[in-house]
Amino acid sequence: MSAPAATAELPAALLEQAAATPAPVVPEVVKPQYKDGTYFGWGTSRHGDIQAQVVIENGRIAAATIAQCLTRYSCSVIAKLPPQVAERQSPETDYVSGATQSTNAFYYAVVEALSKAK
Amino acid sequence: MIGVAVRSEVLMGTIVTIHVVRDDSDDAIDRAFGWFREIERRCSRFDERSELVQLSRRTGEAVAASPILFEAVQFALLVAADTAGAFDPTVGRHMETRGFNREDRTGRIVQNRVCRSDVTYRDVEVDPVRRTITLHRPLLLDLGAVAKGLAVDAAARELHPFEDFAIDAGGDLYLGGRNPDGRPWTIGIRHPRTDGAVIASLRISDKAVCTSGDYERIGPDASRHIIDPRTGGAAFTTASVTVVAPTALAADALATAAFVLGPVEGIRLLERHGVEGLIVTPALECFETPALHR
Repeated sequence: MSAPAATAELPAALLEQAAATPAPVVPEVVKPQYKDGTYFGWGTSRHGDIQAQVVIENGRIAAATIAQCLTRYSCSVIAKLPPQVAERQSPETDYVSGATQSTNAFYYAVVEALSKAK
Repeated sequence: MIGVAVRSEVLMGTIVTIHVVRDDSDDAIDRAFGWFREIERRCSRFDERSELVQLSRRTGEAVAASPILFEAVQFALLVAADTAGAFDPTVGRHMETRGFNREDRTGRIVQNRVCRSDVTYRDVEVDPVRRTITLHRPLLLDLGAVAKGLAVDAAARELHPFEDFAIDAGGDLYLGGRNPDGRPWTIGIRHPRTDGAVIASLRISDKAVCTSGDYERIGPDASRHIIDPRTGGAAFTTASVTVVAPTALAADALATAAFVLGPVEGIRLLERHGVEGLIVTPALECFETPALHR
């Protein structure tokens, strides 16, 4: 069984453990290779469907934006990918913590678009 | 004009964005994304070849684990023991029972064969000397939040020399140094009931911010996706929990545990671990640790 004795040391372990892990090895650098071009994909959420447009340049995602939005909510609220993210999600906010159904739908749309870029 | 590098990749069931406020960081960003890929490869419960799924095929024997898998499991068990099972990495079987078995990356339905309804974290043992993991009963661990936290922290370590940077793994964040305006990063906390709105805003520097919300995924029967491992039912006293901590590993696990514990016990848990946080109830009452906005 897992040692209950470890519980007493938990606070230190919780906050410091990540500083010691993972092992100090360099991960394998695998660059995703996509074919350059513009691709589209659909993602579905309980609130409706989102179509993403993904632009690949030099084998990398150069931009991913919402092409069509059939959700109950405005799609202006969903995070966009580079280079838009560099322009901030709003003037007051650098980043937002917490992913929503709509961000998940956008994610599935981007995944579908990328599957066509392989 | 300060140069910036911003790149995104699709990893760990989400979109990961790395933003460095310097333009000579390309190799470090490659290594940072490399950590996400390596940790996903070892800890995915949807990939038959992952070390985690391979481990699940061996019950009752001490299996030597890679440093990544070992640390992830050891940490998950520590939090499970500390929270008396409010956080439990064997909770995956409840989620499958309730229909939360859609693979993040493809959306395909995955049925895992090794599911028993009465297993808990006590059925898993780690040996810190031999670095082995033993599953005493057939079970499949769900290291989702822990693995993502581990990856964010590993990426943050690669980017540390650049001082000012942000890592966004689907709303799980680590913010290094300052934003391009030279101020602490401004982080909005997603409103749990109004898409597109933020319910609070924090100034963050050199810390991780993670939010667990009941709005993230909703099951086929409209049930919310954070399960109370102690009962197998949905946890419904909480709409979202945000934790600000030195590491994403701690922030993610504590947010999940505090969600299940509810606002009063949840805040107590965060205070006991010396981290800051915000808990929002379904009625939109906000419970905060005292120094959250400092």
